[in-house]
Order: sequence, then C-alpha cells, then structure tokens
Amino acid sequence: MKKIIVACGGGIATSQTVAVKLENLLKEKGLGHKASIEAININSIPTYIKSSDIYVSITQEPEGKYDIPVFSGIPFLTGIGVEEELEKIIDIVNT
Amino acid sequence: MNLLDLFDEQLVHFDCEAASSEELLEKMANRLEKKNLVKDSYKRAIIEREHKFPTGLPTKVIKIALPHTDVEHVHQSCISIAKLKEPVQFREMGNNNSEVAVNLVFMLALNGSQDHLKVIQKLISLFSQEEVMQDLQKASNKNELLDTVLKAIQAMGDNMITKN
Repeated sequence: MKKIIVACGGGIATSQTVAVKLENLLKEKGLGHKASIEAININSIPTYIKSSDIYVSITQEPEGKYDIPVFSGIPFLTGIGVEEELEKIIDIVNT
Repeated sequence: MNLLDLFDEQLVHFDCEAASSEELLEKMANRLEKKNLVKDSYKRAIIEREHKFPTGLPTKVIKIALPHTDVEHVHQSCISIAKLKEPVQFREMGNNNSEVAVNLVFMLALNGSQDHLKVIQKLISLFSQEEVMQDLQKASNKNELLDTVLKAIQAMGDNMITKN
C-alpha cells in the first residue's frame, strides 16, 4: 500500500478536491486498495513526507527538494494531461 | 442549503472590464461588501491570497480563475461570477512563473470550511464538461451565463451544503 499526500498552498479545499479526484481515478483503474490518499496542509509536509511515497503538489515546489517523487495536481483540476500524470503515479503505485 | 442558492444574478458581472486581476477582484468584492455579504476585511484578504496562492486554471475551453479566501471574512456564503470583455492576466495555480489570460472568474465567499470542498469539487467538474464550458463562452448576456451554470450544477445532483 502506497501513501500519497496531496497539498495545496492555502490548504482550504483544493488539495481535498484533487485527493478525491485522484482516489476515484485509482478506484476506476482497480487500484483503490493499493494506495491511501491524504490531503494535508502544506505546513505539515515535513511531518508527512517521511512516511509517504508520493507527493502530489498544487503549489510551486523547487525540483529535488524532497526525497520522494513529486507530481503536479493541476491536471486533475484543469482536465488537461490527466492520463499522463495519472500513469506516472500508477507506475509508482504498482512498484 | 442548496449550492444553487449561492448564486445571484446581481452578483454576476457580464462583459466586465478590468485592467488587472487586482482591479477585478476589488470590483467583485466591492459588490459583495455593498450587499453586506462579506466583511470589510474580505477584499484585502482575497487579493492577498490570490497573490500568495494564485488560482488561474487553464482549462480546455475557457481560462478560469477561482479566487477564494478564509471563512472568517464572510457574513453570508455566495458566489460571484465575472465574464470578462477582454481577458485579464492571473497567475497560474501551482506555477508561480506562468500567467493565464482569464476569461471567466468564479469568486467564492464561503463561511463554512466544508463548503469550500464541495463547491470547488462541483466547479471543477463543471470545468471538465466541455459542452457546458462552450455554452458559457457563447453566453451573450448575464442570464444566459447564469442559467447555464445553474442547469449544469443541477444536472450533477447532490448539491446540499452546510446551512448557514
């Protein structure tokens, strides 16, 4: 079971929106049982990052800042490039 | 209450003109403030938050912005819409170096934190419906614009949000 965290800048609701969307997409692919997804406040990242496998970001993050793979949450909001970003996440979920 | 009740024709700006995103947000916030739907702190808060955490979203058909801020600045939940005569530059969500020429703005003034989740989810699914977005782009007046939004939200069902 892979742990995915989603965080947005303000932490009001955008991260939850992406988390729910991603969860539904993984379920559709029959991978619901292989990942747990949690929307978190950006300030809690240092606490969560060590115990997580994938970070889906909705804010600007400098490359290489974290030790785990970071993906963009924006496609899940705009609908553009969803499959591509999802495939990359699935590749890791399946490892 | 129902999500549909958050919209009001008087909060729709059609063929709106603004030189900058800040000017537009100010204009939209002023109307909410005049109707006593938000506190006088709302305007500053929404502009500052947009600056810190931009909300421009380049969706397939129309470029959108989805400004929102904390619940403490809101008296009564509502959503204001602006369709712009000429696009206004917003910075893109999650990409500080990129700008989006926005045509349509949904400005949220919500006083329940769970409401933000529900409302943003609904609006994001609205943005993914290309036909609806094309209708919004074609809308030639305020009523057509609002009708299209309301019908599309109604068609999705499950629209109850926290009562306030």
